[in-house]
Amino acid sequence: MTLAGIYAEQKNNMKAIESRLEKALEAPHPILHEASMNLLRAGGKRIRPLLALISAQYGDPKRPEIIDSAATLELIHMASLVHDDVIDDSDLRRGKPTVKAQWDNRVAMYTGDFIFARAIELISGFDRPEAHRILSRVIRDLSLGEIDQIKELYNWKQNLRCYLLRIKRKTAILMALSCQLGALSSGCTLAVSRRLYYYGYFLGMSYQITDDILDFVGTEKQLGKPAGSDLRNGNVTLPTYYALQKNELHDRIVGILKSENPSEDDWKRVISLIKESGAIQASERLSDRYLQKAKNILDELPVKKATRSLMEIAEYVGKRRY
Amino acid sequence: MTVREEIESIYANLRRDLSHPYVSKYLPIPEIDKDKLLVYYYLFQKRSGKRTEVYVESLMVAEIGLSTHESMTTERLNGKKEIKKRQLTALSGDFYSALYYYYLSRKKDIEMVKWVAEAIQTFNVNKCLLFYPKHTLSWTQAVAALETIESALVAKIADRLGLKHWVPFLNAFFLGKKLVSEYELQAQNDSRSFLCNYLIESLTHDSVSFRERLEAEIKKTKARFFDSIRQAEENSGTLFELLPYLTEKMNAFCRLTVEEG
Repeated sequence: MTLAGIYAEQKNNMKAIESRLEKALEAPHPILHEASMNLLRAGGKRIRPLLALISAQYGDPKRPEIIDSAATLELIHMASLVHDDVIDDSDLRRGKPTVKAQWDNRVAMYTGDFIFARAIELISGFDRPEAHRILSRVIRDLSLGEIDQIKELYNWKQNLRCYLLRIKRKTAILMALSCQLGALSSGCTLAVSRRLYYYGYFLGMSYQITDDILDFVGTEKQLGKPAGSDLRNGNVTLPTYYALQKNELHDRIVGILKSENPSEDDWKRVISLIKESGAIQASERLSDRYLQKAKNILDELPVKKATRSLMEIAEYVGKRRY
Repeated sequence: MTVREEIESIYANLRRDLSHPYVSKYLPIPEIDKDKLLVYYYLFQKRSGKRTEVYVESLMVAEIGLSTHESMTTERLNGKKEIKKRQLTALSGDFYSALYYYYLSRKKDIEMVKWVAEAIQTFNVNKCLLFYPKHTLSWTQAVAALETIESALVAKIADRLGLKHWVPFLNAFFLGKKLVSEYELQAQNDSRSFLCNYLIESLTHDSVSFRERLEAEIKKTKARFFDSIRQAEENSGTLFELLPYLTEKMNAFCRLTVEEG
């Protein structure tokens, strides 16, 4: 089955999630309402809700709390995006003005906090203490991961472990949680939900590494922001890390990065150096290794349609180009 | 443990939980509102009479998360250090807000999680109402929004814990406290007084000065506070532990400004 086929199969559930999101984002203030609705309309792949829906197939997929759990995950993701745009000082997301650009940083703070509170309110109807314990830990770790990212900005000497821990907290744990929460909402066994957690975790690691590769190889049109944006913001991602390991390139790259005000030509030069260093291929290899780990977990799950769908999602993550 | 020791222990725990080693390099440890801490302590004492540390800490970190985001600046920044401070303001606020859910889910009190989440929504809606109104707010509307903001969380919790008769005097107390703080900032021409800046602008064509209005509002709020205290005492004679503290504080606020100013 193709990814499009998986979405088609989940069409009714995805529609239910969209409608739950729309209801959750209704706000009794015009700016708050418009800011939230703009985020909803900007769309996105809704990969987290999709993972939750498929994981729920290992239990009873008709339980009503599955839709609430899936919508909660997307709301948490949305709230974090609004605040991320303040942190990164981004004016555009998916080619559209960000909340902070359309209004200001304060509105972005209020909107993100409002959406986050809506997410918590929505999931509070889920009567399973284990799920809340896991979700609350992940939310706490997400913010700690973001603080770590700020801490490591412009640190050209950081090691691989530091990068991996950062992307784990930034992306992988929310994907892992999506699978686990979907499974727990469906009432499936703890053993299966734990395996699904690890599938989501390895998938998320591969997903973020791919994102970091695309930041170098994608076009501005595909990315909705200039190529090399992470690097321009001082964020050392995997391709930069690998390029910096090459002695013959290290000083040239760091020299440019440390200069007072790098010109656009400087940025193009440093991006080229990284792209031509073999760092992209090395990053792809590590991404593939995580993907393979995700696929291996699937061997431990019951052979059923959901397992095939998760395999398809893993294939998609491996091939995605934007 | 005496009440004082318990409060000090909660305060120390909060200081520990709020001090992230990296964030502390750039931002001061957030201020802990001792009045709110004490009110939460007595609210939960009234509820269960048992040890209430986790509840008080959870509510306080939620309050601190919200007030941390209040210090978010809007102007364009160029300096790396200033940018980092702004980034950490957003992220540390998120971290503190995450902690209340983390603590309460370990207590398995998801109903309380829901109340806090609802109160946070009320807070943010009223912030937008006050600072981004569709039409210019009247003085009365602005003060009403400010009152909701200042006690959004504490009033919600009091109400849900079955202490509805506490809500009027808590509202008046925290509004009074905020108005006095705005009065002091305005007297010093301190630009941090966002409220003053906003209200002065909206009252430009008013014959009564901003300062006079604020003084009158503080007096009115003080009277309302004592009135609601009397009513609360009629409903429940069990407020005596908290009352002397709050009344003394309210009197002190007002002595500092209106009556001596």
